[in-house]
Amino acid sequence: MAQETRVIYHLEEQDTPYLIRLGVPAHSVTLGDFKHALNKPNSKFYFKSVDDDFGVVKEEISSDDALLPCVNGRVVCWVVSADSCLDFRGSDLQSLATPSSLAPPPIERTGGIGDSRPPSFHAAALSQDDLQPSECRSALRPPGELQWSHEGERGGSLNSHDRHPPEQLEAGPTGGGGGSNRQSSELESSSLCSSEEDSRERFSRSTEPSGSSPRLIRRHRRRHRALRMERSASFSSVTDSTMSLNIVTVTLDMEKYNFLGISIVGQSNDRGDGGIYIGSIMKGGAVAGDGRVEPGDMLLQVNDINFENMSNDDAVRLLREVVHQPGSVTLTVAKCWDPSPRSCFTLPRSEPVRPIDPAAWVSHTAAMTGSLPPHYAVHEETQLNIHSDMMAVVKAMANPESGLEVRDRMWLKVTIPNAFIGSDVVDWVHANVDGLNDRREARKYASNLLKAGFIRHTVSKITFSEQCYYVFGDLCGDLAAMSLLDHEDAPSGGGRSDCGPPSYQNAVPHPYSTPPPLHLLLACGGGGESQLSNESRSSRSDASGAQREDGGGVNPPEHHRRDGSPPTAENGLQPPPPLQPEVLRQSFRLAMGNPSDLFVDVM
Amino acid sequence: MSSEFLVSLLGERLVNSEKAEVDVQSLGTRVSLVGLFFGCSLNGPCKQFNGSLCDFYGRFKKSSEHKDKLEIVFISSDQEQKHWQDFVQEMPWPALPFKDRHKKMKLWNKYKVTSIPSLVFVDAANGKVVCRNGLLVVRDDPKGLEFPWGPKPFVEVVAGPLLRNNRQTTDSSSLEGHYVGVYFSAHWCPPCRSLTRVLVESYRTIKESGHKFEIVFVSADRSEESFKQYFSEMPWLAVPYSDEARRSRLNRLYGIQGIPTLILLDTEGHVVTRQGRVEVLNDPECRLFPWHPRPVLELNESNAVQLHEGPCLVLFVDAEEEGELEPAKELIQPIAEKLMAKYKAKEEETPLLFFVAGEDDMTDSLRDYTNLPEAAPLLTILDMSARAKYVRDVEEITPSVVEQFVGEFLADKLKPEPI
Repeated sequence: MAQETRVIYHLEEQDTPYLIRLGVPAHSVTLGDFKHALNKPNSKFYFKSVDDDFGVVKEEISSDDALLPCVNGRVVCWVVSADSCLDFRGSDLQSLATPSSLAPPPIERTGGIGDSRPPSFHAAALSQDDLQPSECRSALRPPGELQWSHEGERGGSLNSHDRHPPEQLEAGPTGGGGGSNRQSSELESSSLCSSEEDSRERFSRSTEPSGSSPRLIRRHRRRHRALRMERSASFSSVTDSTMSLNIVTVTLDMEKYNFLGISIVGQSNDRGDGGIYIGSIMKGGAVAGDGRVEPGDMLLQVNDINFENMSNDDAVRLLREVVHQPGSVTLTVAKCWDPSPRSCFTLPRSEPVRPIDPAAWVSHTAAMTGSLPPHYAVHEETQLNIHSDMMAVVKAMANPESGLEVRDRMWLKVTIPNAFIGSDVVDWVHANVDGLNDRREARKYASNLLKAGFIRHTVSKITFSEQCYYVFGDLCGDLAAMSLLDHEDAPSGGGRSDCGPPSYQNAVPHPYSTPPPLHLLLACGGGGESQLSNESRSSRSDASGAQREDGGGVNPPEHHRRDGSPPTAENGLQPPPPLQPEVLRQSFRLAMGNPSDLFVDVM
Repeated sequence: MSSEFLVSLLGERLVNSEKAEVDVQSLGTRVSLVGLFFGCSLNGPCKQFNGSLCDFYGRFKKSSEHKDKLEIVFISSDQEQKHWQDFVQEMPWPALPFKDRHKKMKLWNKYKVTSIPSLVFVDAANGKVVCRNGLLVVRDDPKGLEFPWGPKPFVEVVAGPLLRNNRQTTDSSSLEGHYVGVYFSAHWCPPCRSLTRVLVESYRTIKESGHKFEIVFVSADRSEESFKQYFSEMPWLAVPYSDEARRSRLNRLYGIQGIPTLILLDTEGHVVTRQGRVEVLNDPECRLFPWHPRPVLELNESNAVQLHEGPCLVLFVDAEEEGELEPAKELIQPIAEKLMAKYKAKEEETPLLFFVAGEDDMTDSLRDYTNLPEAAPLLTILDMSARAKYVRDVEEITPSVVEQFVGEFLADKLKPEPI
């Protein structure tokens, strides 16, 4: 990683930041490098920096030669177009303060609303001494920390009436009452306090409290966009959603289609499972062909298996089993109201929950790795090669049509469902992944798959053997990989925060380490399932303190890579990219939209 | 005279399957009930429902004593004339002309249509909704005996034995003099299960504080077994699962489209609030029971669901210090109260909800989503279900400004911007 710098940058006021890699080492990367890569002329750049006195600040850098500040191993930047007003003393003042022909208005606002107008607003119009202190205070805020100060409110001086210059009375309104017909641009610049004064003095509005007519003054608003978690999470929480009473049963002919073509998303929280839903529908699948089931629909039943009393994991496993059996598949779903997944994502709705927004999901993974998530890639059928993401390779391999023989196997008097032989993996990889020139290389690749956790041995042996049975691992393989850095040999899986498949009736124990804070158990569900991701609220809060950007130790789930393997497939043991957890957490949350545990499964 | 409304809604002319024109004016004088059938030719369930509706219509027009008092009008969501034509061809009732399909939007908004197929029965004279859930009518009253399927008093619709989960039965007359929560819920529905857990506590709290209060569970479970399992968690009454007709009529009475829904009725059986769920969740100590609707609400995560139920006036303020929220509330409260009183007198639902929104992540994301200008305070009306917003971006927000804004909105004088 030393040869390149990762820069996380926020564009304008978008929540999800972008990731760009500059081919310059972090200790020598300059603004010029970044600007060149970004190619956004007419922009201002603010970089996360640490000030001795104030802590984290946003430092504006404008010289191309200037070195970029690196905080915790990465560069974080806010890119703003030069036209938007980012600093206090900006153009917004001009837009609000109208005709200069008027006498400078008094600043104080009476009557409650809008008292918190930033003193700087008045700066242009006023030069009253006691404003100075507040101005200074606001100026102290780091640039880009876009908060209006509310000194105005705190300072009693602003609210007093004494400095109401008498001449303002004349300039005041002529109009009556509530003053909606105050024309005037005249009034606009006279911060309307005067008019309030007037109204108070001229017209007694008995209904108003404290004698001033309530009115709200407009001003430009700054959105303080510190790295804040997208709160869509709270919106699709189980408690807030509503289910439609429209229940639909569809029977799908699986002869015609090979696969269902749906991704399943589940919700669960500490109060129990929240049901499983259709996350997205893939073209060419049986569900897409039928057309009646849509993203966001909640799955109630498959064939004659009712999910009502089942855990999400069990439900998914059963669904998978049914799908793999021959014969038609009957799905019963509770319809959601709005078929377009995009629209109801960020707001609480009385429509059913939509835990996943495919578009946001895409940008999340983009934030993570800069590439498209695999389950989109797989259906594009791009040719796999050694530079492909391992995830994509495994997904292709896991496809029932891939040619890899996956079936239940007997091993030591135990049935291992959905297993395959090591040698088959080698053969398959050799045949399907470009760039593996001989079987030895294919074997090495397969071994890396094991090390990375994409495939798993029944007793978690880490050395690959062509004679052994394996099953598809899952993304918690990253964690496994990480713990492998510490332990050479994982003794029967101990110490590994692994998700043993509970469905194994193995005599061999699958000791989980202390229940992983990540609730991976939940996510891993049945064995042999390639689950794409999981997220856990509790882990997030646990891990919020732990900002481990390096690869060591068990890292928060944010480091789950969907397709995350580094470019060279040979080296499957790369520590996860040191992406800022916040960034990932944020974008992941945006994508998942739910603070509760979630998992995604693709069938 | 009595057709004015219908004409304003549907235009001067409709067309029928024979491509002949139907005069709306005369239609309005003839019939007392119009069934607005919202659908689309490309939609399976719509085609299916059309079949059932045709049968229903045929029977009604043949044998009902009210046969001449009903007409159905098809409001299409089709975008292709050919599709529209083909579908209309199959219908024995008139349809909104294809060229007038832009009127559909207004109808959708007015009648809060959320999905198709939908059948809403409205009074031909004034357009008031008589029955929101025509689909249930067609299903449950195939002979059309209950014309005009209008709202009946709760006590009438619920009449009959009610169960407790200890197998005891009690008659519905025992509800007299009580506040009643009509609880539409099902076991398969996760948000329902969540709410039930909270509701059990609230139920106890309210009863312990001395109020005469009862909840009647109207199940939407898919089997008696599920119902039994779910009901075992509930300390209140339920309509017996086997009494499907009564459950359906209660459903229809309150126009239930989604669950969980908790409707709160006063001792006279009048609806106090439909937002029982939000209220219960927001008020675990039940201090504000029976939760009469407040004129202005502070927008928060749990009541924000209401944004989707109809147009809402939202006054955004910069309220980091909470200094602006109260005055903003005070500013619009009198207007809200006036409006509520006016519509209550007409026995109609208030057409506009009033919110003040402070500064927090949720509000920010709302502003993002609706693409509002970056000003505060900001006066807006949001009609999420119609995907429309109205912004009154002025220097000064005063009570008159607000009143004018509201007045113009209600008079349909404002131009919506898309969200």
